[in-house]
Amino acid sequence: MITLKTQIADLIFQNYHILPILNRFGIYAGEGNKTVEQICREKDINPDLFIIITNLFIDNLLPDNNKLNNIKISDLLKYLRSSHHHFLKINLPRIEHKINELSEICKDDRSKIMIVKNFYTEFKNELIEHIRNEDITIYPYAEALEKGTPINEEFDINNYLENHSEIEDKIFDIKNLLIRHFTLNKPLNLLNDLVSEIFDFEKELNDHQHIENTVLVPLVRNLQNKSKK
Amino acid sequence: MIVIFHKIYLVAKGIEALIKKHFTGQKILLSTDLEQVKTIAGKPEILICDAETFGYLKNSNNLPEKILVIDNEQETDFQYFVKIDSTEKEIEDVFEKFLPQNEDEEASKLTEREKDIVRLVAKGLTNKEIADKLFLSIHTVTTHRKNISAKLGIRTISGLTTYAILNGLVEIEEIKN
Repeated sequence: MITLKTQIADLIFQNYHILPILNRFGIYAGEGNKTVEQICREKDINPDLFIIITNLFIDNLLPDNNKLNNIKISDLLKYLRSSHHHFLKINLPRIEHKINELSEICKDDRSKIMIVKNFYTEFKNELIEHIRNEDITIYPYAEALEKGTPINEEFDINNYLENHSEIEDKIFDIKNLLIRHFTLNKPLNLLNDLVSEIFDFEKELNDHQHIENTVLVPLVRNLQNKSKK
Repeated sequence: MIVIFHKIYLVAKGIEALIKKHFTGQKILLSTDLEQVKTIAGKPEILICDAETFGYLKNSNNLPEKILVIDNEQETDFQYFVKIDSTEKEIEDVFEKFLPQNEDEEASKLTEREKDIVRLVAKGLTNKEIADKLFLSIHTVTTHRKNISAKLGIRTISGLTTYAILNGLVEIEEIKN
């Protein structure tokens, strides 16, 4: 379990896939000797938020509800928005690039690869649409509630939860199709690279959604209940 | 997805370790907070929890498909139960009944009937339309669909469609129509 006294190096040693997450907080590998407490003070990061996010990533541990009181929605949104940016600008293009590379190299299997690519494109478009909706509707709504500025009275955060699972299921399927049901005429490292890239993305995407569901939604729900009273 | 709720962190962590040892590929989440039960979104297929959490949940209308209670005393309404001081072997025996088992390649092949259903799903038919076309009840079609997903590891319609094309069960042209 991660606490204020945990060293950043320990986080990285436990699971180095956490590096892109640290990135989003402006923390880099060379600063590993610092503790969570120290680095949060130096970089003005909310330590409770940092601990919630890293515990979920490393330990699959959801936050206790009483830990949410010290989280500011604006801090959380800053993190979630930087994740969105990372998904759109880094993860998605990287995966797409690998699929394209694969289809360039494996001319015999091109039609097969294009079938998977179609499915991937469908997933990608849905994800982009989902992110856009969060960026223009849900996050500003949460922000307005926190600031006490006028909100869209029609909107209800409780209706927002359902959409997530379809996107999670699609990336799960793409991964499974490639691992279980996809053989190339010529075995290639590139296919394994692609699968590994998808694994990393799936984990980040799932964690992102768990943070939204178990931190953002309860916080917004509380404020919403107060404001609609 | 498997969600483990246990008020004792060490127990939750221990259950997770045992599951991971035998059943990979399942997404697992842990929580030690009863309040969190209310907020967890996307109903897990499998829930492992203590008796208190179960008592809290049992009357809700949105229960996961399978629930395993790990605690001191067994009560009659537990679907599956493991005593907290069981040996590893005893726990694994319950897990075997409780968790989806890995099949060998032969067993994970689709039957002819299942292939028929995948074809029709890929062509865009609903469960009701498939039932009518194959003279089956909707319930039977739903059961086939579940078995197909379990065998292939594929959950969505688009995923099944992609599988069907990759494996020559349908032609791309048939999908487009």
